[in-house]
Amino acid sequence: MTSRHLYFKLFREDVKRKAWAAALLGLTLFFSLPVAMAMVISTIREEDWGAEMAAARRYQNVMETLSFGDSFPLVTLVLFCGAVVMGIATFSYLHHKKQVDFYHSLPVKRDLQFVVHITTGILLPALIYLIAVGMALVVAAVNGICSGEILITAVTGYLANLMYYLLVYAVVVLAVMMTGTVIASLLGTAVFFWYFLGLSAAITAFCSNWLDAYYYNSPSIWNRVLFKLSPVWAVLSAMSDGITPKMAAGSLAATVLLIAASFLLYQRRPSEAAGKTMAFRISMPIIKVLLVILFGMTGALFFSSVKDSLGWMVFGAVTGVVISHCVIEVIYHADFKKLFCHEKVMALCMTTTLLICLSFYFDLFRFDTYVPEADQVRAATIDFDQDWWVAYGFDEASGGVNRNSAEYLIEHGTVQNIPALLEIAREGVRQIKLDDESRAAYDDISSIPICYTLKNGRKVYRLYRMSLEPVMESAEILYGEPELKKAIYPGLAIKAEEAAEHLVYNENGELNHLSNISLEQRRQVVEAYQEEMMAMSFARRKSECPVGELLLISNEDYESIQSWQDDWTHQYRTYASGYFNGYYYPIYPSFTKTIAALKECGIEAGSSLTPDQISSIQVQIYHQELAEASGDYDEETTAEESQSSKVTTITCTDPEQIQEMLQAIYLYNYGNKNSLLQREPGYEIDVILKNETIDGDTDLRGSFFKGHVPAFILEEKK
Amino acid sequence: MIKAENLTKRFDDIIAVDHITAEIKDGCVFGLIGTNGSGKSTFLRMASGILKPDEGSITIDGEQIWENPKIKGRFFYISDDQYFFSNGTPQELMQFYRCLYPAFDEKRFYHLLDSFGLKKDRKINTFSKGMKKQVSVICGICAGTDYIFCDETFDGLDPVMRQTVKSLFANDMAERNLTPIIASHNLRELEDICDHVGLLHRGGILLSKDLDDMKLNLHKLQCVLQPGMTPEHLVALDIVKTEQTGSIYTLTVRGNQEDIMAWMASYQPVFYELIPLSLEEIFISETEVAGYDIKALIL
Repeated sequence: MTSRHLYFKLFREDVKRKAWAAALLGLTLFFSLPVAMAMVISTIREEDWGAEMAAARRYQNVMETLSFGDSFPLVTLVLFCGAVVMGIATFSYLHHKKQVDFYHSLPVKRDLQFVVHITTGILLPALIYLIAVGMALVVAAVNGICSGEILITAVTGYLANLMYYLLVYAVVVLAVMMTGTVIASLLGTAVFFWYFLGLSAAITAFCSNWLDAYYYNSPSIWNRVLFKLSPVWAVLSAMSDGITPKMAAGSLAATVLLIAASFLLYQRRPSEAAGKTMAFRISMPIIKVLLVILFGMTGALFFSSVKDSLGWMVFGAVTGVVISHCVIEVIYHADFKKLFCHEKVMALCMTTTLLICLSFYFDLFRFDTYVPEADQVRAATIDFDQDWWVAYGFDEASGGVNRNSAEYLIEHGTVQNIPALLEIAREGVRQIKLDDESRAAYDDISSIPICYTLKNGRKVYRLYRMSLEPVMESAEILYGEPELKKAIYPGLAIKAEEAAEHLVYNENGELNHLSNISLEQRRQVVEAYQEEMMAMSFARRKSECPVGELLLISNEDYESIQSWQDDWTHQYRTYASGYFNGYYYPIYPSFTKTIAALKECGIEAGSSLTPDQISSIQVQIYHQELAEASGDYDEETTAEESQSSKVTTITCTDPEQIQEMLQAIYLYNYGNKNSLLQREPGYEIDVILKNETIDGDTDLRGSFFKGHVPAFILEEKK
Repeated sequence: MIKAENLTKRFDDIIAVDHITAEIKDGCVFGLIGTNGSGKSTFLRMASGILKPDEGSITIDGEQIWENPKIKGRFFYISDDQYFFSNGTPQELMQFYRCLYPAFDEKRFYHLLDSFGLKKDRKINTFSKGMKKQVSVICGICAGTDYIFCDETFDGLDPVMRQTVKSLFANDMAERNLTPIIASHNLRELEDICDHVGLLHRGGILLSKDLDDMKLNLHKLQCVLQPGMTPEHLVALDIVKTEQTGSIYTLTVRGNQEDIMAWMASYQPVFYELIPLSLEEIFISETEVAGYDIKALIL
C-alpha cells in the first residue's frame, strides 16, 4: 500500500475520531458567523437610520463580521479556543498508554502518523470555518448585501483567521509533544502563550523600577523581540494593528518552525512518556529554571510594589523561587512528597534570581551613571519634554495623532554640540543621586530622554527626570540648533508654500481661515513665524504667553485627517477638533514679524481680549496651595484650621483693575502650550466676558505670571 | 523468526528488560511467563515496535522492528488493556484494521463475531471485559499476520472461550503457520497450548526451552520402596525433588523415561509408576535448579 493511499485512509479514519471536536467547532462557528451575521443585519432598522444610512451600516457591519480585526473579534476568539482544543485532541492519544500502544503497534511509520494527525487538526477546522463563512455570505446575500469587496474581505478574513489558527495550533501541538498528560499540555500551552510576555514585562518592570535612567522605549531584546514570541501577542496585535506582510510571513514561518519542531519531537518522543508530566527529561530542568527565575522576579516586583525596600524585594524573590520551584516539582512528579527535591537546582535559581534583583537594585552595571566621553559619540539627540502638545504625524490606520515627542526626536532629531548635551546628561546623573528633599527644590522636573549613537554603532538610551535649570545654558545652545528645533516642531520644517495652503489663525477659539488672503501673504506669515520660532529661546518662553495660534500642517497630514474625518464610520470615535490641536503653533508676543505679517492680512493678533469686552475677572485664591508654596503648610495644623483650605474669590469689575489684571495674567488657552511659563501658585483666574452669563463655566481661565500678582489682589488676600 | 539479542529497556532508574537474548521460532506457541513487573509486557511492547530498545535489538527474520512498517505488518499486537475507539463498534474497528492489514479477512471476521455471539454494530465500550478480549482476538486472527502478540489475553476469558481461542490459534498455526506469542503470569493458562516457554524474572530471562524437551527429560515417579530403603539409596537416579506421604514417595527425576524405568526396576520397589508432570511442576524443578523459588515467582 502506498503511503499516499494509506494517508487518505488514515486521514478518513482520524476524521471520524475527531468528529466531536469538529462538531463543537462547527456549532460555535455557526453561531459566530451566519447567526451573528443575521443578527447584526437585522438590528439595523430603516426606521432608525433611514434607508440609505441603514444600507450603508448593514454593509459596513457585514464587512466587519467577515473581516479579521478587533471590530468583530468573536470568530478569532472561537478559532483561538478551537486551536487549543484541536491541538490537545489531535495528539491526546500520546497521553494515554493504551492509545499509544494501539497507535504505535500499527504498521504505520510515526512520520506518517504525525502527518495524518496534524493535517486532520488543520484541514477539518479549515473546512468547517469555510462552510461557516459560506453560510454567512449566503445570509448577507439573502439580505441583499453582496459585492466583490465583501467576497474579498471574506477571503482575506478567512485566510488571516486561519493563519493565526495555525500559529496557535502549532504552539499547542508543541506543548503536547513536550508533555505527557492533558493537564501538563494545558499548562505547557499556557507557558508558551504567556511566558515571553511575562518575561518581557518583568524585565521592563525591573528596569523601570530600579534603573532611574532607563528609557522605557529604548529598543532592547525584551521590549522589541521577547514579547513578540508570544502567540497571544501576535494575535492581539494583528487584530488591533492589522496584518502587515512582514507579520504574515513571520507568523507562517513560526508556524512552520513549530510544526517542524513538533515533528522532530514526535519522532524522538518515547512511548513510555504517556502519563508522565514531561515527555523529555532533558527539558524538565531547563523549563523549571526559566519559570522559577521569572516567578522569583515577579515575587520581588510584587513585594517591592507593596513596600519599596531591599528587604521586601529579597523576601519576594525568595518566596517566588521557593513556591514556584515546589509547585513545579509537585507537578513534574505528581507527588506532593517531592516538594523539596532537587534542592540544588532551587539554590541555583535562588542565587540567579537574587543576583538579578540585586544587580538592578544596586545598579551593579552602572547603568544610571553611564555617560560616554565626547570622543566616543558619533551622533546624539535629546528631547526637552517642554512641548507636549506638538503633533508628530497622523496615523490613518488607528486614527490617532502621534504626540510622542521622545520617540520622534530619537528617530529624527540630531544635535551638533555634543559637549553641551553631555553636560546635560551629567547633570541628569547628578540629579538622580539627589535625595527627595533636594529634588523637591526644583519645580520644573521633566523627563528628558537622550540617545547617543556611539562610534562603534551601538545606540545608548537614557532618560533623566531632571530640572534643566542648572544646565539651562547648555539647553539653550541645543534648543537653538536649527536641526533639533525642526525636529521638535515639525511645523517649522514644512515648506512655507505648503503650510500656507492650510494656514488658519486661532485666537480664543475664533478660527480665521484667511480664505480671502492671497497665498503669497499667507506664505509670508508662515515664513515670518518659522523664522521667529526658530530663534525662540527657553529664557523668552519663561516670560511670554502666546497670544494666538497658527495652523502649520503638511499636505500629507492634512489629507490624512480630512480623509479620516470624511469616513462616516469614524465619526463616532473621536472628536474631530482634537486632530488639529497639535498642529496649531503658538505665537508669542515677541514674534513681531509674524504679528506684523498677520496685520497685513487684517488680523490683530492678541487683540481679542480688551477691557471693554470684559464684564469681570474673578480671582480664586487657594490658601492651601499658597501655604504649601510658601512652606507654611502643615497637615496637622491645616486639619484643625479650616482657614488654610478655604478658597477666597475676589471679583474685579473696575475697568482700571481689569486693565491692570490683563497685564499680569495669562490664559490657559495658549499658556498650556508653553510649559516653561511660570505661574504664581494659589491663584485661578476666570475672565467673564460681557456677552457671557456668570455660570462659572468659561473657556477663559488662566493664572498670574509668577511674581505679577497685582498689589490690590495681595491686599484683598490679606 | 523473532530474535532478541541483548535486549534492554530502562524506565528511568528501573531496568524493565535486562539484556535478554532469546529466539522465537515460527510456527510454535511461545509462552512468556513471569510475575507482574518481570518485563513480559515491556518485551512484547518492544517486539511490537511500541518501545525503542535502549540496548540490543529485536528483529523478525533479521529485520529491525522499530519504525519498520513492513515488519510491523507481519504481527498483530493485543495489549493487556486494549484500546478501542470511543463509541466504536466491532465493524468500525474492523474497517480501521482493514486499512492497515491488507490480508485482513473480513468474511471470517463477521463469521467469528457471529460464532462468538458478538454484535457487529454494538458499541465496544458496552461489552464486558471478556467480550472486548474476544473482539481483539478475532481482529488479531483475521488480520492475517504471521505473528500475534497476546499480552495477558487469556486473563478474563472464560474456560470455554479460552479453549475456543486456543483452537483458533491451533487452526491458524496449522493452516498458515501462525506464531502466537502469549505473555501471562499464570502457568496453568499456558500449559496446554505452549510449545516453547520463556521465563522472565526481574527483567532477565531465567530459561527458554521447548516444553517437549523439558517434559522428555523430567519425570515424576511415584513409588513404594522396599522396607529400609529411602530415596537416597536410589543412587542411579538423578532425583531433583523428593516428597513423601506415608510410605509413598513422589520423586521428580531427571533423565529419559526408559533409563529411569530400568533403574527403578533394578531396585525392586514394592510399587512404582510414572505420572505426567504439569507445566508448573516442570518449572518448579527447572527453576529450583537455577536457585529460584518458582512458587514465589509465578504461582
